[in-house]
Amino acid sequence: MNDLSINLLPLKYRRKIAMLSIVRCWVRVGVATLLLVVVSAGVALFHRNQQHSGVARLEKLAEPIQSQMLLNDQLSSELNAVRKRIAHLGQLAPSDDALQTLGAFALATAHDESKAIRLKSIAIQQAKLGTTVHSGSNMKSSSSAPMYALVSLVATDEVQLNEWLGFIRQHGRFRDVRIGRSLQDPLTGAWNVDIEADVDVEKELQL
Amino acid sequence: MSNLLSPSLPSAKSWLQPARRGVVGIDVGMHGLTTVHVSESKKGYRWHSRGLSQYATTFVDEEPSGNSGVTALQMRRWIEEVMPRTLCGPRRKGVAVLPPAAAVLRWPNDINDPLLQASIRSDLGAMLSPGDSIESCSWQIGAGNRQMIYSVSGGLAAAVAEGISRCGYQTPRIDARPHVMARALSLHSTAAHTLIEWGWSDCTIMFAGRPPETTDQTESGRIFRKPVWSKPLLCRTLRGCSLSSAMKMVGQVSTEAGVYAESTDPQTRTAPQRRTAPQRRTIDQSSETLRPLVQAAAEEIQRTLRYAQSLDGADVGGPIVLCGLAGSTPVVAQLLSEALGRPVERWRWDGCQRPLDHSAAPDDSLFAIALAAACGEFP
Repeated sequence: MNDLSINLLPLKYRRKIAMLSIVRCWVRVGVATLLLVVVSAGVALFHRNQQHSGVARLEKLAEPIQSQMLLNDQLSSELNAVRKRIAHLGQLAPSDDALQTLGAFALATAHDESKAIRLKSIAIQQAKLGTTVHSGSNMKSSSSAPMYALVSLVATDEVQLNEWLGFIRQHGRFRDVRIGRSLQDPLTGAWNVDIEADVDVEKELQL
Repeated sequence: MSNLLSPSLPSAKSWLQPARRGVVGIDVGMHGLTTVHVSESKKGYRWHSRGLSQYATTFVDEEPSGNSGVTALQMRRWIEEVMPRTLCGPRRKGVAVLPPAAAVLRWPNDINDPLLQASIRSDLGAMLSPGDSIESCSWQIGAGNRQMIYSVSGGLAAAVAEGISRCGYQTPRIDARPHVMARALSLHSTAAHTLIEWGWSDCTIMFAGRPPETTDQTESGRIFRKPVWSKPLLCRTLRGCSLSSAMKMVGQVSTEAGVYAESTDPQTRTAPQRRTAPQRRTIDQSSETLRPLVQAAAEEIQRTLRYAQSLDGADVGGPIVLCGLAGSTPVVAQLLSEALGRPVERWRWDGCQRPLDHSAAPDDSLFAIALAAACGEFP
Protein backbone atom coordinates (compact mmCIF):
# COMPACT_ATOMS: atom_id res chain seq x y z
CA MET A 1 0.00 0.00 0.00
CA ASN A 2 1.30 3.45 -0.94
CA ASP A 3 1.73 5.85 1.99
CA LEU A 4 -0.14 8.55 0.12
CA SER A 5 -3.24 6.38 -0.03
CA ILE A 6 -3.58 6.42 3.75
CA ASN A 7 -6.17 8.89 4.91
CA LEU A 8 -7.65 8.43 8.34
CA LEU A 9 -10.43 10.93 7.75
CA PRO A 10 -13.90 9.47 8.34
CA LEU A 11 -15.63 8.45 5.13
CA LYS A 12 -18.52 10.78 5.91
CA TYR A 13 -16.18 13.74 6.13
CA ARG A 14 -14.32 12.71 2.99
CA ARG A 15 -17.65 12.58 1.13
CA LYS A 16 -18.48 16.01 2.47
CA ILE A 17 -15.15 17.40 1.26
CA ALA A 18 -15.62 15.78 -2.15
CA MET A 19 -19.15 17.19 -2.39
CA LEU A 20 -17.91 20.64 -1.35
CA SER A 21 -15.13 20.56 -3.91
CA ILE A 22 -17.60 19.53 -6.64
CA VAL A 23 -20.01 22.31 -5.62
CA ARG A 24 -17.13 24.79 -5.44
CA CYS A 25 -15.96 23.70 -8.88
CA TRP A 26 -19.43 24.13 -10.39
CA VAL A 27 -19.88 27.46 -8.65
CA ARG A 28 -16.61 28.59 -10.20
CA VAL A 29 -17.74 27.34 -13.60
CA GLY A 30 -21.05 29.15 -13.15
CA VAL A 31 -19.44 32.37 -12.03
CA ALA A 32 -16.94 32.16 -14.88
CA THR A 33 -19.75 31.58 -17.38
CA LEU A 34 -21.75 34.44 -15.93
CA LEU A 35 -18.75 36.72 -16.08
CA LEU A 36 -18.09 35.65 -19.66
CA VAL A 37 -21.69 36.40 -20.64
CA VAL A 38 -21.66 39.76 -18.87
CA VAL A 39 -18.33 40.74 -20.39
CA SER A 40 -19.43 39.57 -23.86
CA ALA A 41 -22.68 41.51 -23.57
CA GLY A 42 -20.79 44.57 -22.38
CA VAL A 43 -18.33 44.33 -25.24
CA ALA A 44 -21.14 43.82 -27.77
CA LEU A 45 -23.06 46.79 -26.36
CA PHE A 46 -19.97 48.94 -26.40
CA HIS A 47 -19.23 47.90 -29.99
CA ARG A 48 -22.80 48.66 -31.03
CA ASN A 49 -22.70 52.06 -29.39
CA GLN A 50 -19.42 52.78 -31.12
CA GLN A 51 -20.94 51.80 -34.47
CA HIS A 52 -24.01 53.97 -33.84
CA SER A 53 -21.90 56.95 -32.91
CA GLY A 54 -19.75 56.39 -36.01
CA VAL A 55 -22.78 56.22 -38.26
CA ALA A 56 -24.21 59.37 -36.66
CA ARG A 57 -20.93 61.19 -37.20
CA LEU A 58 -20.77 60.14 -40.87
CA GLU A 59 -24.41 61.11 -41.38
CA LYS A 60 -23.69 64.53 -39.94
CA LEU A 61 -20.72 64.92 -42.27
CA ALA A 62 -22.80 63.80 -45.28
CA GLU A 63 -25.70 66.13 -44.58
CA PRO A 64 -24.58 68.94 -46.98
CA ILE A 65 -23.86 66.40 -49.73
CA GLN A 66 -27.24 64.78 -49.26
CA SER A 67 -29.05 68.12 -49.47
CA GLN A 68 -27.03 68.94 -52.62
CA MET A 69 -27.94 65.58 -54.13
CA LEU A 70 -31.57 66.19 -53.32
CA LEU A 71 -31.40 69.60 -55.02
CA ASN A 72 -29.69 68.00 -58.03
CA ASP A 73 -32.46 65.43 -58.30
CA GLN A 74 -35.07 68.14 -58.15
CA LEU A 75 -33.30 70.23 -60.82
CA SER A 76 -32.80 67.17 -63.03
CA SER A 77 -36.45 66.32 -62.83
CA GLU A 78 -37.38 69.91 -63.60
CA LEU A 79 -34.92 69.94 -66.52
CA ASN A 80 -36.39 66.76 -67.89
CA ALA A 81 -39.83 68.26 -67.64
CA VAL A 82 -38.66 71.39 -69.49
CA ARG A 83 -37.03 69.29 -72.20
CA LYS A 84 -40.16 67.29 -72.71
CA ARG A 85 -42.15 70.48 -72.88
CA ILE A 86 -39.78 71.98 -75.48
CA ALA A 87 -39.95 68.81 -77.55
CA HIS A 88 -43.73 68.89 -77.49
CA LEU A 89 -43.75 72.55 -78.41
CA GLY A 90 -41.33 71.88 -81.27
CA GLN A 91 -43.57 69.23 -82.65
CA LEU A 92 -46.64 71.40 -82.38
CA ALA A 93 -45.30 74.72 -83.78
CA PRO A 94 -45.26 75.11 -87.62
CA SER A 95 -41.75 75.36 -89.06
CA ASP A 96 -40.65 78.16 -91.43
CA ASP A 97 -37.16 76.77 -91.96
CA ALA A 98 -37.62 76.05 -95.64
CA LEU A 99 -38.76 79.61 -96.37
CA GLN A 100 -35.87 81.13 -94.46
CA THR A 101 -33.44 78.87 -96.34
CA LEU A 102 -34.94 79.87 -99.65
CA GLY A 103 -34.77 83.50 -98.54
CA ALA A 104 -31.08 83.12 -97.82
CA PHE A 105 -30.39 81.78 -101.32
CA ALA A 106 -32.59 84.51 -102.81
CA LEU A 107 -30.75 87.24 -100.92
CA ALA A 108 -27.39 85.90 -102.07
CA THR A 109 -28.55 85.80 -105.68
CA ALA A 110 -30.07 89.28 -105.47
CA HIS A 111 -26.83 90.55 -103.97
CA ASP A 112 -25.10 89.68 -107.24
CA GLU A 113 -25.75 92.82 -109.30
CA SER A 114 -23.98 91.53 -112.41
CA LYS A 115 -26.53 88.76 -112.76
CA ALA A 116 -23.78 86.26 -113.34
CA ILE A 117 -25.46 83.71 -111.06
CA ARG A 118 -28.62 82.00 -112.14
CA LEU A 119 -30.31 79.49 -109.86
CA LYS A 120 -31.51 76.40 -111.60
CA SER A 121 -32.99 74.40 -108.71
CA ILE A 122 -33.15 74.37 -104.94
CA ALA A 123 -33.96 71.22 -102.98
CA ILE A 124 -34.30 71.26 -99.19
CA GLN A 125 -34.22 67.76 -97.74
CA GLN A 126 -34.29 66.18 -94.33
CA ALA A 127 -31.63 63.76 -93.28
CA LYS A 128 -32.54 60.39 -91.71
CA LEU A 129 -33.52 60.40 -88.03
CA GLY A 130 -30.81 59.55 -85.43
CA THR A 131 -27.94 60.92 -87.43
CA THR A 132 -25.54 63.18 -85.66
CA VAL A 133 -24.18 66.31 -87.13
CA HIS A 134 -20.83 67.59 -86.00
CA SER A 135 -20.15 71.23 -85.71
CA GLY A 136 -16.78 72.25 -84.40
CA SER A 137 -16.19 70.75 -80.93
CA ASN A 138 -19.84 70.92 -79.94
CA MET A 139 -22.12 68.02 -80.36
CA LYS A 140 -25.66 68.74 -81.46
CA SER A 141 -28.51 66.36 -81.26
CA SER A 142 -32.05 67.03 -82.16
CA SER A 143 -35.32 65.40 -81.74
CA SER A 144 -36.02 66.07 -85.46
CA ALA A 145 -33.67 65.19 -88.39
CA PRO A 146 -31.25 67.88 -89.64
CA MET A 147 -31.99 69.70 -92.89
CA TYR A 148 -29.69 70.17 -95.81
CA ALA A 149 -30.10 72.04 -99.14
CA LEU A 150 -29.00 71.05 -102.62
CA VAL A 151 -28.63 74.01 -104.98
CA SER A 152 -27.92 73.76 -108.71
CA LEU A 153 -26.82 77.01 -110.40
CA VAL A 154 -25.17 78.35 -113.48
CA ALA A 155 -22.36 80.85 -113.01
CA THR A 156 -20.91 82.82 -115.82
CA ASP A 157 -18.22 84.37 -113.74
CA GLU A 158 -16.01 82.50 -111.30
CA VAL A 159 -15.41 85.64 -109.24
CA GLN A 160 -19.14 86.17 -108.74
CA LEU A 161 -19.54 82.49 -107.89
CA ASN A 162 -16.98 82.87 -105.10
CA GLU A 163 -18.72 85.98 -103.82
CA TRP A 164 -22.02 84.12 -103.85
CA LEU A 165 -20.51 81.26 -101.91
CA GLY A 166 -18.92 83.69 -99.45
CA PHE A 167 -22.26 85.39 -98.88
CA ILE A 168 -23.92 82.06 -98.24
CA ARG A 169 -21.16 80.97 -95.82
CA GLN A 170 -21.32 84.26 -93.92
CA HIS A 171 -25.09 84.18 -93.68
CA GLY A 172 -25.06 82.03 -90.56
CA ARG A 173 -27.96 79.98 -91.69
CA PHE A 174 -25.70 77.30 -93.03
CA ARG A 175 -23.21 75.32 -91.10
CA ASP A 176 -21.22 73.78 -93.92
CA VAL A 177 -21.27 74.82 -97.57
CA ARG A 178 -19.62 72.47 -100.07
CA ILE A 179 -19.30 72.39 -103.85
CA GLY A 180 -20.51 68.98 -104.87
CA ARG A 181 -20.01 68.96 -108.61
CA SER A 182 -18.89 71.64 -111.16
CA LEU A 183 -18.87 71.33 -114.93
CA GLN A 184 -17.95 73.98 -117.45
CA ASP A 185 -20.04 74.28 -120.58
CA PRO A 186 -17.59 74.17 -123.52
CA LEU A 187 -19.76 76.36 -125.70
CA THR A 188 -20.67 79.18 -123.38
CA GLY A 189 -17.88 78.80 -120.79
CA ALA A 190 -20.44 78.93 -117.99
CA TRP A 191 -20.12 76.73 -114.90
CA ASN A 192 -22.87 74.32 -113.83
CA VAL A 193 -22.29 73.93 -110.10
CA ASP A 194 -24.08 71.75 -107.53
CA ILE A 195 -23.76 73.06 -103.98
CA GLU A 196 -24.62 71.22 -100.75
CA ALA A 197 -25.25 73.17 -97.57
CA ASP A 198 -26.20 71.89 -94.12
CA VAL A 199 -28.90 74.03 -92.67
CA ASP A 200 -28.41 75.27 -89.16
CA VAL A 201 -31.84 74.95 -87.59
CA GLU A 202 -32.17 77.69 -85.03
CA LYS A 203 -34.91 76.12 -83.05
CA GLU A 204 -32.73 73.08 -82.13
CA LEU A 205 -31.78 73.02 -78.51
CA GLN A 206 -28.14 73.73 -77.74
CA LEU A 207 -26.93 71.44 -74.95
CA MET B 1 14.08 53.20 14.84
CA SER B 2 15.12 49.72 13.82
CA ASN B 3 12.98 48.30 16.62
CA LEU B 4 9.99 50.14 15.28
CA LEU B 5 10.55 48.85 11.78
CA SER B 6 11.43 45.28 12.58
CA PRO B 7 7.89 43.97 13.34
CA SER B 8 6.64 45.03 9.93
CA LEU B 9 9.69 43.69 8.11
CA PRO B 10 8.56 40.04 7.74
CA SER B 11 5.20 41.03 6.30
CA ALA B 12 6.89 43.39 3.84
CA LYS B 13 9.22 40.57 2.83
CA SER B 14 6.28 38.24 2.36
CA TRP B 15 4.71 40.70 -0.05
CA LEU B 16 7.91 41.07 -2.03
CA GLN B 17 8.75 37.38 -2.18
CA PRO B 18 6.98 35.27 -4.80
CA ALA B 19 4.42 32.81 -3.52
CA ARG B 20 5.96 29.44 -2.69
CA ARG B 21 4.33 26.19 -3.53
CA GLY B 22 4.58 23.49 -0.92
CA VAL B 23 2.96 21.40 1.73
CA VAL B 24 2.13 22.29 5.29
CA GLY B 25 2.64 19.44 7.73
CA ILE B 26 0.91 19.50 11.11
CA ASP B 27 1.91 17.34 14.04
CA VAL B 28 -0.97 17.27 16.48
CA GLY B 29 0.45 16.17 19.81
CA MET B 30 -1.01 15.58 23.23
CA HIS B 31 0.05 18.96 24.57
CA GLY B 32 0.53 21.08 21.52
CA LEU B 33 0.93 21.12 17.79
CA THR B 34 3.74 21.99 15.41
CA THR B 35 3.43 23.12 11.82
CA VAL B 36 6.02 23.36 9.08
CA HIS B 37 5.87 24.64 5.53
CA VAL B 38 8.06 22.63 3.16
CA SER B 39 8.56 22.81 -0.57
CA GLU B 40 10.59 20.73 -2.96
CA SER B 41 13.23 21.97 -5.37
CA LYS B 42 15.90 20.38 -7.50
CA LYS B 43 18.41 20.87 -4.71
CA GLY B 44 16.29 19.19 -2.07
CA TYR B 45 13.54 19.89 0.40
CA ARG B 46 13.19 23.49 1.56
CA TRP B 47 11.86 24.22 5.04
CA HIS B 48 10.35 27.70 4.87
CA SER B 49 8.62 28.30 8.18
CA ARG B 50 7.63 26.66 11.43
CA GLY B 51 4.90 27.16 13.99
CA LEU B 52 4.60 25.91 17.56
CA SER B 53 1.49 26.02 19.67
CA GLN B 54 0.87 24.71 23.17
CA TYR B 55 -2.64 23.87 24.35
CA ALA B 56 -4.17 25.22 27.54
CA THR B 57 -5.60 21.78 28.30
CA THR B 58 -4.55 18.27 27.42
CA PHE B 59 -6.12 15.24 25.81
CA VAL B 60 -5.20 13.04 28.70
CA ASP B 61 -6.42 14.24 32.04
CA GLU B 62 -3.23 13.66 33.98
CA GLU B 63 -3.88 16.23 36.63
CA PRO B 64 -6.60 15.81 39.24
CA SER B 65 -7.94 19.21 38.19
CA GLY B 66 -11.08 17.99 36.50
CA ASN B 67 -10.07 18.93 32.96
CA SER B 68 -12.37 17.27 30.49
CA GLY B 69 -9.81 17.13 27.68
CA VAL B 70 -9.62 18.88 24.33
CA THR B 71 -12.84 19.28 22.42
CA ALA B 72 -13.11 19.19 18.65
CA LEU B 73 -13.96 22.89 18.64
CA GLN B 74 -10.84 23.78 20.62
CA MET B 75 -8.70 21.70 18.31
CA ARG B 76 -10.18 23.44 15.29
CA ARG B 77 -9.43 26.86 16.83
CA TRP B 78 -5.83 25.98 17.68
CA ILE B 79 -5.19 24.76 14.18
CA GLU B 80 -6.72 27.90 12.72
CA GLU B 81 -4.42 29.98 14.92
CA VAL B 82 -1.15 28.35 13.97
CA MET B 83 -1.72 27.31 10.34
CA PRO B 84 -0.21 29.48 7.60
CA ARG B 85 -2.93 31.09 5.51
CA THR B 86 -3.32 30.26 1.83
CA LEU B 87 -4.47 33.70 0.77
CA CYS B 88 -1.49 33.94 -1.55
CA GLY B 89 -2.90 31.08 -3.57
CA PRO B 90 -0.81 28.07 -4.31
CA ARG B 91 -0.20 26.62 -0.85
CA ARG B 92 -3.05 24.22 -0.90
CA LYS B 93 -1.91 20.96 0.59
CA GLY B 94 -2.15 20.23 4.26
CA VAL B 95 -1.36 16.93 5.94
CA ALA B 96 -1.81 16.23 9.64
CA VAL B 97 -0.70 13.53 12.03
CA LEU B 98 -2.83 12.87 15.09
CA PRO B 99 -1.51 12.18 18.61
CA PRO B 100 -0.05 8.76 19.30
CA ALA B 101 -3.07 6.55 19.43
CA ALA B 102 -3.92 2.90 19.52
CA ALA B 103 -1.39 0.70 17.76
CA VAL B 104 -2.01 -2.95 18.42
CA LEU B 105 -0.59 -6.18 17.11
CA ARG B 106 -3.19 -8.72 16.16
CA TRP B 107 -3.87 -11.66 13.91
CA PRO B 108 -5.78 -10.65 10.76
CA ASN B 109 -8.84 -12.64 11.86
CA ASP B 110 -9.17 -10.51 14.98
CA ILE B 111 -9.88 -7.24 13.15
CA ASN B 112 -13.66 -7.49 13.50
CA ASP B 113 -13.49 -8.93 16.97
CA PRO B 114 -15.62 -6.87 19.42
CA LEU B 115 -12.99 -7.39 22.11
CA LEU B 116 -10.37 -5.82 19.86
CA GLN B 117 -12.68 -2.90 19.15
CA ALA B 118 -13.23 -2.42 22.87
CA SER B 119 -9.49 -2.57 23.44
CA ILE B 120 -8.88 0.11 20.81
CA ARG B 121 -11.60 2.32 22.33
CA SER B 122 -9.95 1.91 25.68
CA ASP B 123 -6.55 2.87 24.23
CA LEU B 124 -7.95 5.95 22.53
CA GLY B 125 -9.39 7.05 25.87
CA ALA B 126 -10.01 10.79 26.14
CA MET B 127 -9.48 11.33 22.42
CA LEU B 128 -12.61 9.35 21.58
CA SER B 129 -15.79 11.26 22.30
CA PRO B 130 -19.07 9.38 22.61
CA GLY B 131 -20.43 8.57 19.15
CA ASP B 132 -17.08 9.01 17.40
CA SER B 133 -16.08 6.49 14.78
CA ILE B 134 -12.71 4.71 14.85
CA GLU B 135 -10.58 5.13 11.74
CA SER B 136 -7.90 2.48 11.25
CA CYS B 137 -5.20 1.40 8.89
CA SER B 138 -3.23 -1.79 9.04
CA TRP B 139 -0.04 -3.23 7.59
CA GLN B 140 1.68 -6.54 7.42
CA ILE B 141 4.64 -7.15 9.71
CA GLY B 142 7.54 -8.49 7.69
CA ALA B 143 7.03 -11.89 6.11
CA GLY B 144 4.91 -13.11 9.00
CA ASN B 145 1.19 -13.51 9.26
CA ARG B 146 0.60 -10.82 11.84
CA GLN B 147 -0.76 -7.35 11.27
CA MET B 148 -0.35 -4.03 13.00
CA ILE B 149 -3.46 -1.91 13.36
CA TYR B 150 -3.24 1.81 13.93
CA SER B 151 -6.43 3.60 14.96
CA VAL B 152 -7.42 7.19 15.61
CA SER B 153 -10.59 8.94 16.68
CA GLY B 154 -12.77 9.82 13.68
CA GLY B 155 -14.17 12.87 15.47
CA LEU B 156 -10.72 14.25 16.23
CA ALA B 157 -9.59 13.57 12.65
CA ALA B 158 -12.65 15.43 11.33
CA ALA B 159 -12.01 18.36 13.70
CA VAL B 160 -8.39 18.64 12.57
CA ALA B 161 -9.41 18.41 8.92
CA GLU B 162 -12.10 21.03 9.50
CA GLY B 163 -9.51 23.39 10.97
CA ILE B 164 -7.19 22.80 8.02
CA SER B 165 -10.04 23.37 5.56
CA ARG B 166 -11.01 26.62 7.27
CA CYS B 167 -7.48 27.91 6.67
CA GLY B 168 -8.00 27.53 2.91
CA TYR B 169 -6.55 24.07 2.31
CA GLN B 170 -8.80 22.10 0.03
CA THR B 171 -7.63 18.53 0.46
CA PRO B 172 -6.60 17.82 4.02
CA ARG B 173 -5.20 14.38 4.73
CA ILE B 174 -4.71 12.63 8.04
CA ASP B 175 -1.65 10.44 7.86
CA ALA B 176 -0.79 7.48 10.07
CA ARG B 177 1.81 8.34 12.70
CA PRO B 178 3.83 5.07 12.34
CA HIS B 179 4.22 5.70 8.60
CA VAL B 180 5.28 9.28 9.22
CA MET B 181 7.80 8.14 11.85
CA ALA B 182 9.26 5.73 9.32
CA ARG B 183 9.63 8.59 6.86
CA ALA B 184 11.28 10.74 9.53
CA LEU B 185 13.82 7.97 9.96
CA SER B 186 14.49 7.99 6.20
CA LEU B 187 14.99 11.77 6.28
CA HIS B 188 17.63 11.45 9.02
CA SER B 189 20.16 10.07 6.52
CA THR B 190 21.58 7.25 8.65
CA ALA B 191 21.27 3.52 8.52
CA ALA B 192 19.10 3.49 11.64
CA HIS B 193 15.93 1.40 11.84
CA THR B 194 14.61 2.54 15.23
CA LEU B 195 13.01 5.87 16.02
CA ILE B 196 11.80 7.01 19.42
CA GLU B 197 9.47 9.97 19.58
CA TRP B 198 9.71 11.10 23.14
CA GLY B 199 7.47 13.98 24.10
CA TRP B 200 6.05 15.68 27.12
CA SER B 201 3.21 13.21 27.56
CA ASP B 202 4.05 10.25 25.36
CA CYS B 203 6.87 7.99 24.27
CA THR B 204 6.47 5.99 21.07
CA ILE B 205 9.00 3.59 19.60
CA MET B 206 8.86 2.53 15.98
CA PHE B 207 10.89 -0.09 14.14
CA ALA B 208 11.11 0.34 10.39
CA GLY B 209 11.57 -2.43 7.88
CA ARG B 210 14.46 -2.47 5.46
CA PRO B 211 13.86 0.16 2.77
CA PRO B 212 13.33 -1.16 -0.77
CA GLU B 213 16.12 -1.06 -3.31
CA THR B 214 17.05 2.54 -4.14
CA THR B 215 16.25 3.85 -7.56
CA ASP B 216 18.31 6.60 -9.15
CA GLN B 217 16.05 9.59 -9.71
CA THR B 218 18.63 11.91 -11.19
CA GLU B 219 17.32 11.17 -14.70
CA SER B 220 14.38 13.51 -14.21
CA GLY B 221 16.66 16.49 -13.66
CA ARG B 222 16.89 16.28 -9.88
CA ILE B 223 20.23 17.04 -8.33
CA PHE B 224 19.47 15.45 -4.98
CA ARG B 225 18.53 11.84 -4.40
CA LYS B 226 15.11 11.63 -2.87
CA PRO B 227 15.06 9.41 0.17
CA VAL B 228 13.48 6.02 -0.22
CA TRP B 229 10.77 5.93 2.41
CA SER B 230 10.97 3.15 4.94
CA LYS B 231 7.83 1.29 5.98
CA PRO B 232 6.85 0.86 9.62
CA LEU B 233 7.19 -2.58 11.10
CA LEU B 234 6.34 -2.40 14.75
CA CYS B 235 5.03 0.56 16.68
CA ARG B 236 4.48 0.72 20.41
CA THR B 237 3.54 3.45 22.85
CA LEU B 238 5.46 3.18 26.12
CA ARG B 239 3.01 4.04 28.86
CA GLY B 240 4.26 5.98 31.85
CA CYS B 241 7.50 7.03 30.19
CA SER B 242 6.53 10.59 29.24
CA LEU B 243 8.84 13.45 30.19
CA SER B 244 6.11 14.95 32.34
CA SER B 245 6.46 11.83 34.49
CA ALA B 246 10.09 12.74 35.20
CA MET B 247 9.09 16.23 36.19
CA LYS B 248 6.36 14.82 38.41
CA MET B 249 8.90 12.61 40.10
CA VAL B 250 10.84 15.66 41.22
CA GLY B 251 7.80 17.89 41.66
CA GLN B 252 8.65 20.33 38.85
CA VAL B 253 5.48 20.15 36.78
CA SER B 254 4.22 23.61 35.96
CA THR B 255 0.62 24.06 37.01
CA GLU B 256 0.21 27.00 34.67
CA ALA B 257 -2.20 26.05 31.91
CA GLY B 258 -1.69 28.88 29.46
CA VAL B 259 -1.54 28.92 25.72
CA TYR B 260 1.86 29.42 24.12
CA ALA B 261 2.11 30.01 20.39
CA GLU B 262 4.81 31.17 18.04
CA SER B 263 5.22 31.06 14.31
CA THR B 264 7.77 32.18 11.74
CA ASP B 265 5.22 32.26 8.95
CA PRO B 266 4.04 35.82 8.26
CA GLN B 267 0.64 34.55 7.24
CA THR B 268 -0.40 32.92 10.48
CA ARG B 269 -2.97 34.56 12.69
CA THR B 270 -0.68 34.45 15.71
CA ALA B 271 2.40 36.64 15.51
CA PRO B 272 5.35 35.50 17.65
CA GLN B 273 5.49 38.64 19.73
CA ARG B 274 1.79 38.81 20.55
CA ARG B 275 1.87 36.16 23.24
CA THR B 276 4.89 36.24 25.49
CA ALA B 277 3.60 34.46 28.59
CA PRO B 278 3.48 31.65 29.51
CA GLN B 279 6.82 30.36 28.25
CA ARG B 280 7.27 27.37 26.00
CA ARG B 281 7.25 24.07 27.88
CA THR B 282 10.80 22.82 28.52
CA ILE B 283 12.35 20.24 30.81
CA ASP B 284 14.96 20.43 33.48
CA GLN B 285 18.11 19.24 31.76
CA SER B 286 19.96 18.00 34.82
CA SER B 287 21.05 14.36 34.73
CA GLU B 288 19.77 13.70 38.25
CA THR B 289 16.25 14.67 37.32
CA LEU B 290 16.09 12.67 34.11
CA ARG B 291 18.14 9.58 35.02
CA PRO B 292 15.34 7.64 36.80
CA LEU B 293 12.93 8.25 33.95
CA VAL B 294 15.46 7.32 31.28
CA GLN B 295 16.35 4.15 33.20
CA ALA B 296 12.70 3.12 33.36
CA ALA B 297 12.20 3.92 29.69
CA ALA B 298 15.36 2.05 28.71
CA GLU B 299 14.03 -1.13 30.32
CA GLU B 300 10.82 -0.82 28.30
CA ILE B 301 12.79 -0.11 25.15
CA GLN B 302 15.00 -3.13 25.73
CA ARG B 303 11.93 -5.31 26.15
CA THR B 304 10.46 -3.96 22.93
CA LEU B 305 13.76 -4.44 21.10
CA ARG B 306 13.88 -8.07 22.18
CA TYR B 307 10.34 -8.59 20.96
CA ALA B 308 11.07 -6.84 17.65
CA GLN B 309 14.10 -9.10 17.12
CA SER B 310 11.78 -12.08 17.17
CA LEU B 311 9.71 -10.74 14.27
CA ASP B 312 10.43 -11.74 10.68
CA GLY B 313 12.17 -9.03 8.65
CA ALA B 314 12.95 -6.83 11.65
CA ASP B 315 16.38 -5.24 11.85
CA VAL B 316 16.91 -3.60 15.22
CA GLY B 317 20.63 -2.97 14.76
CA GLY B 318 22.22 0.40 14.17
CA PRO B 319 21.78 3.58 16.16
CA ILE B 320 18.54 4.68 17.77
CA VAL B 321 17.21 8.04 16.59
CA LEU B 322 15.52 10.30 19.09
CA CYS B 323 13.02 13.02 18.20
CA GLY B 324 10.43 15.11 20.00
CA LEU B 325 11.05 17.16 23.13
CA ALA B 326 13.61 14.61 24.37
CA GLY B 327 15.44 14.85 21.07
CA SER B 328 15.93 18.54 21.64
CA THR B 329 17.62 17.80 24.99
CA PRO B 330 21.17 16.49 24.52
CA VAL B 331 21.37 15.02 28.00
CA VAL B 332 18.47 12.62 27.35
CA ALA B 333 20.23 11.16 24.32
CA GLN B 334 23.40 10.77 26.34
CA LEU B 335 21.62 9.09 29.28
CA LEU B 336 19.68 6.78 26.99
CA SER B 337 22.81 5.79 25.13
CA GLU B 338 24.47 4.91 28.44
CA ALA B 339 21.43 2.95 29.60
CA LEU B 340 20.98 0.98 26.35
CA GLY B 341 24.66 0.56 25.58
CA ARG B 342 24.26 1.58 21.96
CA PRO B 343 24.50 4.87 20.05
CA VAL B 344 21.59 7.25 20.26
CA GLU B 345 21.38 10.12 17.75
CA ARG B 346 19.22 13.21 17.88
CA TRP B 347 17.09 13.72 14.80
CA ARG B 348 18.26 16.52 12.56
CA TRP B 349 16.92 18.11 9.39
CA ASP B 350 18.98 17.26 6.33
CA GLY B 351 17.20 19.46 3.78
CA CYS B 352 18.76 22.29 1.78
CA GLN B 353 17.03 25.15 3.59
CA ARG B 354 15.82 26.08 7.07
CA PRO B 355 13.71 28.97 8.35
CA LEU B 356 15.62 32.26 8.56
CA ASP B 357 15.72 32.33 12.39
CA HIS B 358 17.48 28.98 12.56
CA SER B 359 20.01 30.03 15.20
CA ALA B 360 17.31 31.06 17.68
CA ALA B 361 14.85 28.31 16.78
CA PRO B 362 14.01 25.22 18.84
CA ASP B 363 15.80 22.02 17.90
CA ASP B 364 14.95 20.26 14.61
CA SER B 365 13.76 17.15 16.40
CA LEU B 366 10.70 19.00 17.74
CA PHE B 367 9.48 19.31 14.13
CA ALA B 368 10.59 15.86 12.89
CA ILE B 369 7.10 14.41 12.57
CA ALA B 370 5.59 17.49 10.91
CA LEU B 371 8.52 17.65 8.47
CA ALA B 372 8.27 13.98 7.61
CA ALA B 373 4.52 14.31 7.09
CA ALA B 374 5.00 17.25 4.71
CA CYS B 375 7.92 15.70 2.80
CA GLY B 376 5.95 12.51 2.25
CA GLU B 377 3.39 14.45 0.21
CA PHE B 378 5.80 15.08 -2.63
CA PRO B 379 5.48 12.30 -5.17
